[in-house]
Amino acid sequence: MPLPAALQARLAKRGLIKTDEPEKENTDANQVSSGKCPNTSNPYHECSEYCRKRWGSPAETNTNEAHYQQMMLPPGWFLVPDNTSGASYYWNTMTNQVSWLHPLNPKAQITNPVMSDGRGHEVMPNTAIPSPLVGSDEREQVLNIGKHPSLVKGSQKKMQAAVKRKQQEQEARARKKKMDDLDPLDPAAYSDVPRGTWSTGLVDKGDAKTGVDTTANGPLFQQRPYPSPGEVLRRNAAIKS
Amino acid sequence: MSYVLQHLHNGWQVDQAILVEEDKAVVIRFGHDWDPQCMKMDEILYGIADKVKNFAVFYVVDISEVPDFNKMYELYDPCTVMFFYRNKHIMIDLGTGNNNKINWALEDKQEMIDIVETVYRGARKGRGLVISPKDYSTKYRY
Repeated sequence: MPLPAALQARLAKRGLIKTDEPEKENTDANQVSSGKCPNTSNPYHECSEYCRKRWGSPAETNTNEAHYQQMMLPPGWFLVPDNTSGASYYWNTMTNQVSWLHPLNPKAQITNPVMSDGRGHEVMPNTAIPSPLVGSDEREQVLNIGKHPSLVKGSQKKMQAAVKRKQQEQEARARKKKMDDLDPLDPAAYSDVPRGTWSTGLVDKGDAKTGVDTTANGPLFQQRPYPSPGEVLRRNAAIKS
Repeated sequence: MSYVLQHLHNGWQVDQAILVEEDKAVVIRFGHDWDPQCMKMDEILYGIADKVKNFAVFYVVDISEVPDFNKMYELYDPCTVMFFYRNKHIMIDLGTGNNNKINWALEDKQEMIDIVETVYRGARKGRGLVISPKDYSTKYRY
């Protein structure tokens, strides 16, 4: 009696039943035979625990770099051995930019070389310097040789989109600040009355229309006495001064 | 002894006139002597001044000559009568909605005597607001 495929696989994994290897081997023979994760060509893929277990290639964690090392260099780039560290880096003879990783690798940090006098130590981000990937169309096409165009374009697009988003955010913030400045319901926003200040509209002692307590309302409203004549004279003097 | 309505010619005089009266209600008519409504009111005040001389004194203030109080006391009417007792403004509920003053000319002398007496009695008891013996709301006037 044939077991369901999933159950069969699980039992086989635990060693409870004998697997009929040849049948399964045929289904994904090309992948198993290669002995490495089929996603190595995907630059966004990082081999996880499952990959290592499934494909049994712990040495292949560095496949991305290895993969890029095999790729053709864009025009102007050369692989240069570094005397001090023993490793080799990539150098663009046209723009004098350097990168430890392959320039087509999206992880690559393409920077200006550190000055020999030892002053230019800061590492410029990739976005600041025009990357060789950003160029005319035909050049881009050249660069994309051996790579899925969506990947190359996508990484570039992502970078540009990030910059654009940042600009938009700043603009939105500036706009919001400007909006905050003036309440749309403020008469100054829709008419030509001057902009009021904090104390505008509050009854000042100087321009009070009456001597009674203007803050009293409700049942107290009709019980607000006028100040005595002496008080009125004092207030008038205070207003004048 | 004759009682004529005394005129007060500046703010200081008004202040002093009220301050010096220790045990009398001070009734001040704000307006213009030439105003017909004020003339009517002055006639009544003059007529009762002798009768209420024990507990009230009357003064007349020209609001053009003494404009100090126009704003604070809201003296917009041609004739306004206000009551003070011991340097305190005494309000009177006349039923008109404005408890601060009588801003029309009364027609009956006895009514004015009653009002002044009510103000004096209430003020003596420390009341800031007294109730007029007669309701002067329009319901009763017309």
